Amino acid sequence: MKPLSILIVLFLVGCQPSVRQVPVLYYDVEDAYIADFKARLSSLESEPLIHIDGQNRVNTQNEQFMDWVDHHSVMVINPVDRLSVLPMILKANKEKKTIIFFNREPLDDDFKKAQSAYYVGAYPYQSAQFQVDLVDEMAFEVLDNNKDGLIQLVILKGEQGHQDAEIRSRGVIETLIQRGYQLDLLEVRVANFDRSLATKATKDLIELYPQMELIISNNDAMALGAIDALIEEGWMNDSNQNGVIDGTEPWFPVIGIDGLPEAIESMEKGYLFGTVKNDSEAMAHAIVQLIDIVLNKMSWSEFDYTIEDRKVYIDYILINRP
Amino acid sequence: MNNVLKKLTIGQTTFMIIVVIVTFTLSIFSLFAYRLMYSATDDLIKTSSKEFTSQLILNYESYMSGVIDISNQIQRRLSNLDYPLNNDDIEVVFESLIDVNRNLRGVALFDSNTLLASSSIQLTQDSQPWIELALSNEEIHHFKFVDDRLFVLKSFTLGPFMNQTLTLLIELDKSLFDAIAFNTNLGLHGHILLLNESLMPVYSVGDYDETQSLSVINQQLLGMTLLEYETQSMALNVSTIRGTRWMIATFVNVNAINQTKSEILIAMIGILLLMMVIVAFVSASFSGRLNSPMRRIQSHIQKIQEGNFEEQIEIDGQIEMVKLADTFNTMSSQIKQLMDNVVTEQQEKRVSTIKALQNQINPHFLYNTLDSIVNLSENNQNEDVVEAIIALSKFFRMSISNNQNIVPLRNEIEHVRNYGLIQKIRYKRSFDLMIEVDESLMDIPVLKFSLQPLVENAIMHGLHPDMFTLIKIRAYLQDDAISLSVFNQGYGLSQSKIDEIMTILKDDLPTSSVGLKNVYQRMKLYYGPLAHLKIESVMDEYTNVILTFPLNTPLEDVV
Repeated sequence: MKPLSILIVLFLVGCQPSVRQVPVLYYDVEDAYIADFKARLSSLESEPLIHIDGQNRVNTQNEQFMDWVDHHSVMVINPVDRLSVLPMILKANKEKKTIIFFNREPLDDDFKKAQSAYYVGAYPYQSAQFQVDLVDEMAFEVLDNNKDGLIQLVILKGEQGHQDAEIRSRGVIETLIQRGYQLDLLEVRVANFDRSLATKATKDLIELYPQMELIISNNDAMALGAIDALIEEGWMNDSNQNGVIDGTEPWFPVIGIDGLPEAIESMEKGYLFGTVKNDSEAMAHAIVQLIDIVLNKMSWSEFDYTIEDRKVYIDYILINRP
Repeated sequence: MNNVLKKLTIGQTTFMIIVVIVTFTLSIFSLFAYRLMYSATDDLIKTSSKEFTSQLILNYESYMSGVIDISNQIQRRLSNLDYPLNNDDIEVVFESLIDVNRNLRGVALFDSNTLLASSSIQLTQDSQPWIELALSNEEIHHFKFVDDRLFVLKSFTLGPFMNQTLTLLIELDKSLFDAIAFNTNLGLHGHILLLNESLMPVYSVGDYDETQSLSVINQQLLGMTLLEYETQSMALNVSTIRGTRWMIATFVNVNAINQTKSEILIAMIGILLLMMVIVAFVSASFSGRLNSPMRRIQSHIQKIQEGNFEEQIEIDGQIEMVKLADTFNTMSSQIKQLMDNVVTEQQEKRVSTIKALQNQINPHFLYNTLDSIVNLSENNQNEDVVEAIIALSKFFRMSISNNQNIVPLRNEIEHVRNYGLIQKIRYKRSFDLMIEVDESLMDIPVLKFSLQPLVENAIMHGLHPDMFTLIKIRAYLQDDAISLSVFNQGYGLSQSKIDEIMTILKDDLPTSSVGLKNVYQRMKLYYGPLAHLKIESVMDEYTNVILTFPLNTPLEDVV
């Protein structure tokens, strides 16, 4: 009888994960930004982590949450939908678990209901402010091409109704006005964060608004799309074929957000004026530190970031031409 | 346990062992099989319920994303209009959208609390709280179900500087939304609930008990579980719908599948019991096959114990049993044979001994002897009379006293000597009895009354009327046997006569020479083939009869 029971126990034990890994639920690892973030997170020295891909489906992530909620006292979650986190929060309360949300911020209403939850992310409005910082760096005379004292501005907006798109678009307008710029907002054009859509839109805009002086995009992809159009229409031209825009060659200011490698390359070649980047490294670091704090392996005094209302906002990084 | 086992018959033990082993094996097998089926069924329920919910959620999500798309489309179109907005322009936008969207029943646009423009909207209640709701969180779409309509609210900013906040109200026909779950088969008491952020139902499909449903949803919060609901087995799955703050709870009746589970259990128990009954029958008949011949052999032995050797046992069945019975039959018939032999032998012994005794107490002998003694006394040969009477008395005493059939040689010699004395008186001393036996042989046991008949024969048939005859008795050892020889001079016997005598002795033929035959028969009875009788003779010279007995005397039996 004894060996049999031992066998059964071994069998049952065998079903449990041997290492208590901290589950990290991503909304979609196909997303370049998330893939990059995952790589950064795994490169840091931390508690053993297990990376779980939500495949951009709320229901899938909910199931994954239920599969893993019992395995560790702390979970790291990048929600597929920021509106869908309430049941996770309630469940975590019941099971006395801690959730560290990142990248997509839960609604305040929901977040307040959590007994133990943190958020690590960026303050989207700040990305708009940083874009205006880039505008500030440009000489107004250069910017005000037609010398009317106004900036003929076009905003390339992401998806209509998308939180980031709305906040960034509104943030840019508000900050520019706040800093004393006289705006002639030609159009806020929706291009769904998409490069080719942005190219099409920009061609259209060039035709509509030849007086256009500045394009601020909600992301790098659309900024690159706009540059594609501007090059095609001759508004940017590497006339001496040296691979870079310099000197007196035709150029047009475009500002992006994200700090994609391609955007940085474009910037180094003198096309893109500048971009604003999420500090993924700091975010990953903050998450790892929070895990340690939750597991009592670190004290709050050692925490490298500012935390307020259990939320850690990591500053964006400004990237502009040297 | 051992004691209990020992008390059982082989058949019972075999039966018990077979039944126990088979029951154990079958039970273990059934347990594992049921366990596997049970978890497979559970997995099936969970998988199918999850898939069902997942598909349902996808459908709701695609509907909702369509609704949000319409809202975004309206916002985009409005933002493309000339600013400040002209009510007619707005209505044109609305109308064009309503035309292409059958789902869309009406649209309205509010500026803080005043209606800017509307188209086909059927607002039956005060819009103010709704506008406040939309303004409370401008980032998201808000949804309200009223009767057969779904209202969508969204605040957004507009204007050249995105500084005018407007609220869009869209009215949708709920029928398409209803159609999503219309064809789903949730089973008895199965239902779908959409819950808002306060976990209160905002939409439902199917009948349900609100208190009970909300209680289990609050318990579960997220994910899949199996539970009892209104005496039905239900799979509850709680998840969320993207783009909304709704939670979705599906209650799917899985009673049918669960019933299969108990049906499997009943079927397996049935099969198990049936198998056990079959096994019990088979092993009972097998152990019977083993047991019944055993029992028959046992009762047969009982009969033999009671002395009944007549019956033979007939068994067909297992080969070992048949062989055992055959051997047993052979054994019992052999025992019977042996017992018969013993009885015959005993009878023969008794008869021959009585005959020997009769020979000794022959009335003729007594008469002749007494007549001789009378003659002696008439002749005043008083000493001889005394001697003869003493010899006679000793002779008879020895004849009748001892019950033993095997006696020391000394006794036989003494007996023969007395006999010789008596006969000498009778035959007027015409012979002499010479005894040449070494003292060391005197204690060797020999057959009683074995010498006297030989001496008698020598006197009766051997004496030569004209001659003085010498009768010599000798004893000597030869190998493991003692030989007693009675030698007499006289007529002698021809070889054919000797052969005739030997034939008469060996075969059961009547003879006048009762004495010799009796000796021979008794000799064979007591010693078997180890004893011999041999007659040597030379015509007109001598006759020598030699008896040979084995030294190791057989067990003395009392006659």
